Amino acid sequence: MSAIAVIWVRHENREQIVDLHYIYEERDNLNIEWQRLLIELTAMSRYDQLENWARVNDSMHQPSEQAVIFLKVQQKSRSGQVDAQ
Amino acid sequence: MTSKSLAISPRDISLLILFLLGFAILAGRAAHLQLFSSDDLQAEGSERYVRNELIKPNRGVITDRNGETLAISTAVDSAWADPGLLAKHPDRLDDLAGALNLSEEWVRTNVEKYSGLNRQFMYLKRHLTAQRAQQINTLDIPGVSLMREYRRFYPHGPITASLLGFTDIDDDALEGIELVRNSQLKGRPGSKRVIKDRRGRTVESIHMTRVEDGLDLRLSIDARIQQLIYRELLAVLTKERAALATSVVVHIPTGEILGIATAPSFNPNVISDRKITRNQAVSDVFEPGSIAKPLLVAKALMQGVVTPQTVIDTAPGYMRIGGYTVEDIRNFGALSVEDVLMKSSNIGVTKIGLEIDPNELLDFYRRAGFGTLTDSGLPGEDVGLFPERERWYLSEHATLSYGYGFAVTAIQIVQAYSAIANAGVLVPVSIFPNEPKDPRRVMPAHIATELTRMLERVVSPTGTSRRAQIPLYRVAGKTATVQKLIDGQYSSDQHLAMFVGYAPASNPQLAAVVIVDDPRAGSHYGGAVAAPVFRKIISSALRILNIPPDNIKQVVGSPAAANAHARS
Repeated sequence: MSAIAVIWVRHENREQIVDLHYIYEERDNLNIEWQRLLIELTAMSRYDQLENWARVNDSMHQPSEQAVIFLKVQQKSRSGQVDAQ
Repeated sequence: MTSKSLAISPRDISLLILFLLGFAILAGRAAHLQLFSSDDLQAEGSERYVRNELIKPNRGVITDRNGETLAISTAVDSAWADPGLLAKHPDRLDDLAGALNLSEEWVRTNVEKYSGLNRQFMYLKRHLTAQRAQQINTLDIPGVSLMREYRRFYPHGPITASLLGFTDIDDDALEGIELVRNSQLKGRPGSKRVIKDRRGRTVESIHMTRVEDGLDLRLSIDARIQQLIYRELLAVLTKERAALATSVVVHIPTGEILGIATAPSFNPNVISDRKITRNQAVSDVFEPGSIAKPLLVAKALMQGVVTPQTVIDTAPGYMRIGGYTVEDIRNFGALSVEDVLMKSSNIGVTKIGLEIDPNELLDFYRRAGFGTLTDSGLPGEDVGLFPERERWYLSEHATLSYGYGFAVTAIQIVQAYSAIANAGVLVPVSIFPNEPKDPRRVMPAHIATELTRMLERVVSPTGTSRRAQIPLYRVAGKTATVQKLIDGQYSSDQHLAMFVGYAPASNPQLAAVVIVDDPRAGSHYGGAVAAPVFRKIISSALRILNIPPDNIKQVVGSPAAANAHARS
C-alpha cells in the first residue's frame, strides 16, 4: 500500500513540476512581450518624431511672439502663459 | 487433488532447476551491476535525463530622468547543440544547416570536432530571428536546442550612442555608461539542475541557483532634450559643412546634465556601424579663447583692479607684447570693461589681465572648474591642460587673459558658466540624478550678478552673440572662435566656433555649450555658427520644460481682456 502511495505522490509531484515550468514559460513570454512593447512605445513616442508629425500632418506650429498673450495671475505676482491664435 | 499430484516428477525438478537457475542469473547480474559498475551506469543514466541549464540574467534597463527607455535587453533565442548526440544523426545536418542559414560543411566539421573533444555544448548560431527559432523547434533534431539570451537594444540609436556606449554579444559592456556601471547593470547568471523526461519536459528540479537580473539605471538625461540637441547638431553639420559638433545642456540649480550629444554619431543597434568612440564633450580638450574672458573680468572685479565702468584704451587695435602681437578684429578705441566683453576685445582683456598675477589667475580658473575633473560620472573624461610655471613670460601671461595657453573640455565650460548663472556657486555637474553634491562658491554673488548683466549685453542686438537671442526670454552668453592647434601650430583655416550661455537670465535654469569643429560653409565665427544652434536648442528646451518667460513686453490684465485681445 505505502509503496503505491509513494509512487502516486512522486507522479503527482512530477506532473505539477511540469505545470510549474509551463507557468514559468508563460511568465517569461509575457516579460518578453512587455519588453517588445516598451521598445515599440519608445520608438513611436519619440518627441522629435511627434513634433515633426504635428508640423507636417496637422500643420501645427509654434505660436509667434505676437500670438502669445500673457495674463496677470491675481493671487501670485507671476504671469501665466496662455496661447491664443 | 489426486495422489499423483503429490509425487514429484522429474519434469517438475527440471522446471524448478530451470527457474532457480534463471533467478540466480538475474540476481547475479543485478549484484554485478549494483556492486561493480554502478557508478558508471548512474553517470550514463544521468547523462540522459539530468541537464544543467544556465539561466542568463536580464541586463538592467537604462532610462532617462522621466523613466523613458534608453537601453533595454530583449530576449532572443540562440541555437546550441550537444555535439555528441547530434553526431549520431548525420542525416539531419542538412536540414539544420538550412534552417540556420549556415553551410552544411561548416556544421559537419564543427560537430565532429566538438564531439571528438567530448564537449557537451556548442553554439550553432546566436541571436536568431523569431522565425528561425520557430523552424528549429519544428525540425526537432536530436541534440539541438534553443537557449534564451538577451540582445541589447537602443531605441534612440545614434542620439544616445556616444553617451551610453554598447554591449557585446554576451550583453557585457564595451563602452560608455554601460561600461562604468556594468557591475550594477549586468546581474548574475543562475543555473539549475533538472531532470527531463523523454519529451524534454522538466519533471524535477534538483538544484537551483537563482538568477539575479541586473538593476535598472536612471540617468539625469531628458530624452526629449537629448533628441533635440542631436537634431540641431546634425543640422549644423550639414549647414556649415563642419567636421564635428558637440553640445551639453545642464540644469543650473542641480547641475544635472539634461542632454549631452555629439554628431556625427553611429547606430549602436547595427553592429557593423559601431565604432569605438569617445564622448567628445568630456574627452576633447581645446583652448577656450574668448569664453575665458568673463572669468578674467570676474577675477579683476574681485581683486578690485577694475570696475565695470573703468575705461580701457584699445586703440589702435593691435598691441605688441614680448615679441608677439595681440590684435582685435578692428580698432574699438576706448571701451568700458563691460564693452570689452561685449566686443570681445583681446587688447582690452590683455590690459586687464596684465594687472593680475598669472598664478592667481590660473588658480581662479581652476576654482571655476577649468583643468579639473568634474564629478560628472562620465567615462573617458579628460582633465584638460594647465601649464605650471614659476615665472611667466609677458607674452604667456597675456595669452592666459584671452583664453589661450591652457585647455579645457566642453563640460568644464558649461559647468563654469552654470556657476556664474547660479549666483557664483558651482554645483558639480552629474549624469546621475539626485546625487549628493558639494557646491562651492567661486565668486561673490554680486560679481556673478554683475557678470550676468554684462553677458546679457553680449547677447543684445549690438553684441557679438545677437543670434543667440530667444523671443520672450532674457539670455546671457558668450561666443568664442579659436584657431585649432594642429601639431603645435595654430591653423589658419581650421577653427572651433563656440557659444556658451544660459537662460532665463533673471532666474537661470538652463545652461548650454555648443561647439562646432571646423565649419567650412561660410563664416567660421562662434556668433554666426554656434549661437544660432544654442538658440534653437534652448528655446525648445525652455518650452519643453515649461520654464516661464522673463522678457514679456505686454501683459494683459484679465482672461476676459485676453479674449478680447485674441478676437481683435
